[in-house]
Amino acid sequence: MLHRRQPRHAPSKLDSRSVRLGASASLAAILLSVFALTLTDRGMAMLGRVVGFLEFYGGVLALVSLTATVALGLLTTERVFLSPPNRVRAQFAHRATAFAGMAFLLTHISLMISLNHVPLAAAVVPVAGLYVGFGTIAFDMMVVVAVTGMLRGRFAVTGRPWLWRFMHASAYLSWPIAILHGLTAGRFAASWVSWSYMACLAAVGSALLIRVLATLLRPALTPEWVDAPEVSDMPVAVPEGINAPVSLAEARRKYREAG
Amino acid sequence: MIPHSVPRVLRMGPARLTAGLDHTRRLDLPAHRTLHGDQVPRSLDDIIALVEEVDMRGRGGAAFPFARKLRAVADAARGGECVVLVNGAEGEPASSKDAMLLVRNPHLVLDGAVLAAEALNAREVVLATVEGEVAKSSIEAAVAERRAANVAGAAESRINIRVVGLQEKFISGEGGALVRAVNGLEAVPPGRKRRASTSGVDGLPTLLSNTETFTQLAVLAELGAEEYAKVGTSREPGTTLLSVSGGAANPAVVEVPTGTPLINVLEMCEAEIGDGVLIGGYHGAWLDAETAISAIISREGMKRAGGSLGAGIIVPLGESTCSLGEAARVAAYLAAQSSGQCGPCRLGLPDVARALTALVDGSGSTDSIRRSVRAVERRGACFHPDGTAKFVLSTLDAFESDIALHQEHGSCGRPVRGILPLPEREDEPEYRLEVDWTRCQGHGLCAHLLPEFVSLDDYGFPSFKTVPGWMVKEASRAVDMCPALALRLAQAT
Repeated sequence: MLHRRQPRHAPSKLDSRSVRLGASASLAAILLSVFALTLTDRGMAMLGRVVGFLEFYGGVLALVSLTATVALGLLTTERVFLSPPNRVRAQFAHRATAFAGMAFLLTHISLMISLNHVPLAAAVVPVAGLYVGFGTIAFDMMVVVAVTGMLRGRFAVTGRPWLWRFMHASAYLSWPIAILHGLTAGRFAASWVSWSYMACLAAVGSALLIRVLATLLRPALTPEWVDAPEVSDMPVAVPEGINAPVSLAEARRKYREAG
Repeated sequence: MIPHSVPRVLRMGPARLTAGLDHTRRLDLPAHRTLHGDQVPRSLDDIIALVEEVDMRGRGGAAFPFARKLRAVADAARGGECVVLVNGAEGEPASSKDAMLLVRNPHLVLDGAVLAAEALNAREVVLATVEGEVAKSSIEAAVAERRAANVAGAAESRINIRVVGLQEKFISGEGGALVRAVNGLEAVPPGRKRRASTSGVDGLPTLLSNTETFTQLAVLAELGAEEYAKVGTSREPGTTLLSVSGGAANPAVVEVPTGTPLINVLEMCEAEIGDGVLIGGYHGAWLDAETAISAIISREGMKRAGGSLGAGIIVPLGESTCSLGEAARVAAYLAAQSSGQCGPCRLGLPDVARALTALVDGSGSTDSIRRSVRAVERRGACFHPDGTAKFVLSTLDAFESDIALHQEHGSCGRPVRGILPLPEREDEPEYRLEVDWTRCQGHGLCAHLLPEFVSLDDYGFPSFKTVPGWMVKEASRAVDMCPALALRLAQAT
């Protein structure tokens, strides 16, 4: 039997008041601890190391998580790869990696701007050269993808799911550009890194190709003809005894003859 | 303000709390002052002495000595801040005395609360009542009247009075739940009991008592102990308010001196006793016809009769209704009113109600009821499981012959008329999942996410059941996760 997970009188929604309180409290705690760290020399050094790490690896982490996101997203749409329960799990993982990827991406961009590697406008408009510009374009498209991902339920209601698919699918364009940006801008990438990105691109690209081809080549869904009795113009030929009145004695005789 | 319709008032003996209400629907400030005179501030010791002389008790049901409460708050405050909290959210469907006082005689309530607040040097008076009822607008109007009078030059007390509206539930009248609600938390009883007199509104020492208690305090201060004790029994002097409803042809809030026979009150309200009288509300006990005839209205008299006066709720049952069915309706209501915090109460009370309902159609047994009652008794943070247990056990005792009839014939022949007043059951919102069949591809993720409400046919396409309100979060997740974007959630009509 089903049990109520919530008591009848408790509001089933998340208590927005305590969520707000908790979020602002944790934000304040982080800001305060950063502020406290700046007070001592050791703290400053630690902070510097953290910023240095994020400056160096923030973009890489973002690219890795978003690669995983694209792969999981592709995996969860197709029913050939996974069973329904695993597709649900893959969707959850898709969201989690997307969230992490966007967080790293925002850190990466804000650090690059605040450390004066690129001008402020480069976050939105490709003004800082071709290689950084790849990243800008990829980010702009990724924002569209993230927003449509969050508003997915709305599109199901408004009756334009193709619009959602179209917008969300710009990830398949944004992600290779992001990889291009990762390989060209900044420091020189080690060869194994380039190779693994290429492998990812090839895997996702071929999966995507199969998906598109399968959609295009799939025969139209048509109803099925059931073989019904055929029409014929044969004369009526009723076998003897079929429509004769039923006689109990005759039935008994037949039964006896049959053994 | 003049309310359109007000609770009816009757009385025996002298008019005190109900003075002046024969001729008007609501006493406004000038009428109140003409009737009761100007308020004279008293010192705390003065008030405690007065209260002790007549042994005044809280009128909300627990009958806690009011002097001890006053002293506890004063001790806890130790000259610091404290608050006076008036409990005007009775929650009992059969009680109407709080509503009557707040609607018809709000200034007497405020007089009593202000008197206590000034003696305690309290920060404010908080008056908690039901949101959206006439009582709330009446008391707000009364506060405004006092402010206006002060502007016009009268010498009303300038202490801050705050009116707080609450959602009405059976449990919201409980002291701890009330304090939590006033503090802006959910109105459920706290898990660990804390006395309001040490830590109540905003964590300050709080003098918390029922509306009638403060009204009685105002009357006591006006009359003096000697005059106050002229009516009523010697051990419990004064008058008391009774809410008579149910099978009474003339339901009303009745002011009677203590010591009045119950039968006189019932006659005045044109009520026949029938199978029994419920005393003390839905956490109270039944008096059978014989006991009810000789019962006396006072805490002592009711205890002798086998009940408790509680908050003065009297519900005669009459003869035309199935008494057991009425009790089962109340038990079902009480089960639904559990705040759901304590497991034995949340899960056990519905079982008790089910067992009682089974007894009504003759399939249950008293033993099974007693067994399920034992599973909830004294196993909760508040009095709700205990009170419900008391009501159900008292039902078993009072209607023994009726129960035998039901067990033998499956019915006593009388229909359930709904004599015991209950609020209407709220409809919970229900939702249904709609599918755009042209988009659905039979992926089957919805069936995995909502296994109880979605089933797949042989082709793998879903069919849906209605989704109850408490599952809406899971249902909207299924809408979000549908790979074909084919699902929608709509409110079921």
